[in-house]
Amino acid sequence: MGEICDRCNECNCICEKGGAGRVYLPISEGTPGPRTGMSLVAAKVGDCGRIVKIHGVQEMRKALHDLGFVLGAHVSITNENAGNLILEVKGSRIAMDRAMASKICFVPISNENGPAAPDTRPAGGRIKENK
Amino acid sequence: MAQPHPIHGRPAGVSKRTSETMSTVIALTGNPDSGKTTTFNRLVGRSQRAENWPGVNVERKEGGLKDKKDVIIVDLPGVHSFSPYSQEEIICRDFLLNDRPDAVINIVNASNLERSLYLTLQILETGIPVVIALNMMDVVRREGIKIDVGKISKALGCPIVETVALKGDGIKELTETIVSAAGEKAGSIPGYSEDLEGYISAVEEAIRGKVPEETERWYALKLLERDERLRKDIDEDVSERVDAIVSSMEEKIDNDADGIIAGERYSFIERVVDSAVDKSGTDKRGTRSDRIDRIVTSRRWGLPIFALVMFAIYFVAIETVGGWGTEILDDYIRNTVRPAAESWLIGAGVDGWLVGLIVKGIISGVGTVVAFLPQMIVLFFILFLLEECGYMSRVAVVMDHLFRRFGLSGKSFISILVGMGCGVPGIMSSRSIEGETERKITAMTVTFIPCSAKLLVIALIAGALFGQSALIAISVYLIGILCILMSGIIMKKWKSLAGTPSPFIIELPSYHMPYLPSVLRLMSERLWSFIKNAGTFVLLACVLVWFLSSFDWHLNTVDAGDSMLAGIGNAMRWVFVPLGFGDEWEFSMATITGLLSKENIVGSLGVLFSSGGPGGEGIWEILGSMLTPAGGYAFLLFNMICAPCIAAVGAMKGELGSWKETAKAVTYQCILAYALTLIFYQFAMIILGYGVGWGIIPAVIALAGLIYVLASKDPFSPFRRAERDA
Repeated sequence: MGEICDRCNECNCICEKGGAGRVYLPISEGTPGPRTGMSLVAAKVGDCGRIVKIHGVQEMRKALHDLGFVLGAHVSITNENAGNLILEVKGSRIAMDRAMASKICFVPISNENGPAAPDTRPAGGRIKENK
Repeated sequence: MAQPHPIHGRPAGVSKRTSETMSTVIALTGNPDSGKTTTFNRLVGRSQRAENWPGVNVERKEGGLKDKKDVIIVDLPGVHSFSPYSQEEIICRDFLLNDRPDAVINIVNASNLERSLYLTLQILETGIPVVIALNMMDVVRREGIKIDVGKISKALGCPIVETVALKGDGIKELTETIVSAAGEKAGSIPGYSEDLEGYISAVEEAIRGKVPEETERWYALKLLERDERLRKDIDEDVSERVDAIVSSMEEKIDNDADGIIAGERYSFIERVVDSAVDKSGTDKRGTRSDRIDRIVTSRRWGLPIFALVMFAIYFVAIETVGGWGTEILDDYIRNTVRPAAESWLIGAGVDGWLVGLIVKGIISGVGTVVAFLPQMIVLFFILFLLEECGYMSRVAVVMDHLFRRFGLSGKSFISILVGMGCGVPGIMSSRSIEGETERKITAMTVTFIPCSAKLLVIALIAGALFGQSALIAISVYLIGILCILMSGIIMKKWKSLAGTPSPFIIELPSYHMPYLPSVLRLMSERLWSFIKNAGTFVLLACVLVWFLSSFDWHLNTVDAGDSMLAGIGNAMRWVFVPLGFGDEWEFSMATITGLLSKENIVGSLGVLFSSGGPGGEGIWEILGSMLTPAGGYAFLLFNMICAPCIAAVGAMKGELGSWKETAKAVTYQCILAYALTLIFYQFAMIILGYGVGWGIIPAVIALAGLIYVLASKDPFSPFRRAERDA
């Protein structure tokens, strides 16, 4: 199942571990376990991770893609206000409601699984350490 | 100068560039918050023209370069992408594709590089020479970010000029670069992954000869994205071949087509940004904007801060600074200009009727309206300031939770705030709301919030009957918001508006210092339209009211009470008797003239009540003696909620799309206004101890009806739930 390649998007796989010699796992719908990712609504403020799946109708997905919510993109939850999430993706801040956020699935990056600082890329990949 | 374009095989229905074929045309593009307007103002200066794009209500600005007038800059609407879903995006892509400008300036927000470059890639694909203006470099430097501009320029194959449009830095260099770029061929277009490039060339091959050569890549990529709009330009057999390619790509890469392409674009950008941007010097606590947002959009402080801002707007614009200015100006017009003009005219031997027209008709009527200029200046200044600095989108986030319950979007509140200045831009700003239901309800209800013209009426009634109590204005604003929320509940039950609540999504731009000249320019545009309105509609209405109120049907000079106007007003006033202001004909007339523009209500009352003796009774005293407080408040209430001025109705038609829906909306507004005023007045009479009149019967019926439409079960909620769960 494991497959090694250079960049996430080029083979449309997800990156499970960052750093050199990353392992990419192909994703497909219905793959059990955490690799299908969790919905953004289930995340807490301060969490971050990589997007693995975007559900929803074509037009909405297109809008999300244009905003930077593409597979493999780094996303973090910077704030929450009465049901709306404020996310950081591709260097910009986007607020959305829970219905929308529930369509986006991501795999959290935490310090426990994988080497320290799994994502060192600066591009939108600033990892929040608070909380 | 002119560059003949090697255009061949234009798709059907495409027009050639019509204007300025002899001069160089440069398009200005960028994201909405990239500083595009500021850059445009810097490049062009004062010599700009504004009109609408044909067929749509989106402003088109153009003008000659400051020191090279034959180079025309066309300011395209701010967009994030060239998807075919919004008017703005379609305008941009059609202009680039069909009008083929000689070059494109792409304003890139350096503090939001990745998002901005997403548009840049799509612009580059059009095959037109591009110059990037890397704007807001000062913000980037302050945040401690280092950008290797040379590397980005090399990767994208186009020149980059660093600018700080706010201060005017780099504008001269940008001018020079764009002028020289306009004569050259476009640079190479960045390539994507091998896989995708394979599909791109397959599509290019399929469409070869059907589209202009330099736009082949654009067409190929957009067709791969399954762009519906471009598909119409392509023959049936070709599009079938393209479909097959797209399907095989989707299958092979296991993602939807536009997801693949968006992903490729963003990963290209990520590579560029990775290699060229050094963020090691940034503050670990996040950007300044993030730190402000942690408080401003927080659960605890979001609403209190917002309430404070609203109060500050009201307090500064209406109670203090603006109010003082209005008081001084009003006093000056009434006690200095008017007597001076009157004595001068009489001294010059002017006929009596002409003195009447000028003094009573024009100075009293228009003067009363013009006196509100200071309040308007301050109100618009604050509103534009909020818009420029980036707070408006936070308002949407803070209010969304509340508004969602009423079938509206958080963005509706942006429209409400804009509508406090003027209903027309308020209605037009509803366009940014994604959901059709929310957008239409917002456009139909935003005029319930008093605009700056209605402010005149509020001030008049509060001054004449309530000792200038601030409570009157505050209560009217609250009732306005209440009406909007109530209408949200009611309208959701209309069949044409029964959509699923659409998702809410909004970008939060970094906070930035407003650029004062931009704010001043916006403000002067608004004020100019106010003054134009006062000089045309209001003037005309005042003259008409003066004429109709000074003569009878046989054109004999008479007292207002026997005039033509009194005749018309008397015939109509019965409608308003149950509302408490139908005993005198003047108020029904004022209400009617208010439909032209709301300033007219005050203007025509100014004309009608200007007959007090020399230096004698002001309009306040006369009003105070004619209306009971309850009747006065009812008059105010009805005029706040009923049909807006014709300019706003026109704007509503633009957003709703048809006269039928517009008529429905205006009828609804009038019925709601009548019902609420009726209920208010009749119950106020009972509470104030005037006893029960016959009007209580329709009032109770209206109240019951209102409660019924509010409380009745939403007939479409099961559909909504089903759709949401699907």
